[in-house]
Amino acid sequence: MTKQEIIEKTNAFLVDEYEKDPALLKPEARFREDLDLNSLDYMDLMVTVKREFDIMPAPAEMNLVVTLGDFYDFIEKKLNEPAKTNE
Amino acid sequence: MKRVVVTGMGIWSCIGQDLQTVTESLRQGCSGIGIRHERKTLGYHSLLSGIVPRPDLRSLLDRRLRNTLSEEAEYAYMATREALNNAQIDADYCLQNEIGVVFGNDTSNGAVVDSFVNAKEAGNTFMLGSGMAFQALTSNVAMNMANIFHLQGTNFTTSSACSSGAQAIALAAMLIQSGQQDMIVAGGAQETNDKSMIAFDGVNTLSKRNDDPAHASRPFDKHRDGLVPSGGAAALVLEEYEHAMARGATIYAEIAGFGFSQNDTPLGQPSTTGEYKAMLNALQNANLQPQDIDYINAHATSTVSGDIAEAQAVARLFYPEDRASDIENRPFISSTKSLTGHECWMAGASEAVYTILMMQNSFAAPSINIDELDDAAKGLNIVRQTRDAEIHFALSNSFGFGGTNCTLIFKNTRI
Repeated sequence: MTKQEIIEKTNAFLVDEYEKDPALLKPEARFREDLDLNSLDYMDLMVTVKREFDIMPAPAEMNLVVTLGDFYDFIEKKLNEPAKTNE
Repeated sequence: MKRVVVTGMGIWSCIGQDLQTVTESLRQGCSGIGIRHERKTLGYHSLLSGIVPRPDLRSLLDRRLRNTLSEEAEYAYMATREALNNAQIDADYCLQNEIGVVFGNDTSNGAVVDSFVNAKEAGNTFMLGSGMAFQALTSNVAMNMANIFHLQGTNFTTSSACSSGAQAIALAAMLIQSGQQDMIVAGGAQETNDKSMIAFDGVNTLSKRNDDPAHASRPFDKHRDGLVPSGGAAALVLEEYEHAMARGATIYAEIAGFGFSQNDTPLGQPSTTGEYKAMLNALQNANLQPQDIDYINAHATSTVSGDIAEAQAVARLFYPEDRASDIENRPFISSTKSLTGHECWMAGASEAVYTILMMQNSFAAPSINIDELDDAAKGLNIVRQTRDAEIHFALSNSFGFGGTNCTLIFKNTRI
């Protein structure tokens, strides 16, 4: 998945599912302050991330995401991680 | 003690999703019962259910407010919205005044079961999202109504199975009578999903008349074979009388009294004595005599034993001598569950709304589907066709599955 595809997919669910104004969806937009996403919304985002990208982030990882740009980067990084095998 | 009046009502049920439609359904004797075919694969013996549409809330509430609503809370939102509009209470009023909320609700099985199944499938509870922790609580209705409508006063949930909604109204009335609150949204809500009633099918309480849904709920009929589960939500704005007068509110009825009792029989078995006591206590609380009651909205759910016990209790209190004599001056009786099915945790509240609508519009809805009256109900003044009538005082029974009884009495303030 290209970075542009990640951006388009993310922006689409933020508009459709999280009812965010498309005009606010800039890389520098802060999740909490600018996009009004709280800690419960972060839990819902984990479900959305699993559904849209088939990756399951840990809450601690999600809490490091501050801006929308961070989120794009985070998804890109997770998608490019080698698959973990169970010990 | 302060007087308590009803200044707003709202309803979301299988016989209509607004007061006007529900009034006409009651008048016409329309059934709201249908089939949920998917129950067959779950092993249900009864596929019958009140068919309650899910409201489309996307245009009414933002995602965060929708996210914490269980199925029954969605219905409660629609009913509460209509009740507050009906009472001419807007958001500003709610923000500036202390309004309480008391809702009857006894399960949130849909949310509980979905949470378990989804977590098991995903192998990770984080995949449930944030809403289920709220939805799974029986108090989710009251907490969500308080959150959405800015109800900042008392907040209670009553849970007593099929008398939960009636208890909510009685508790709200007590809080207003005692001066704790001037205004309370009181109601009841009931889920209709396939998880909600599965255990009741398992104890053989549901009708199996799957080939004839509209005729399946038949309280007082000799050939009834069980209740038909249903649901939705009802809400009433209860208000202290002087407070209502001061703001120029329309008064639809007065809460004249209420009574409670607990059965002396094993769980799941009705008690004529317990039901008699609830009605007697309500009459005493209202300072009324049996002959003051014009109409009884029976609990009668269409179960074999329940309808008999209630018929006997009504006969004992309201027909103490020869049933056949002076029948026209005895209260007339109908079970609106013949139309709606058994709305369970919501029933006490929805039947309060139905009763007040009938009082307001001077008619009694019929108890439909009585082809042959049960012997226990013979001689009782049961309404089988819609009847025009001025109702001064009406009594509504709600008898919980665990033997917890609650009777409400309403006074018509229009006549």
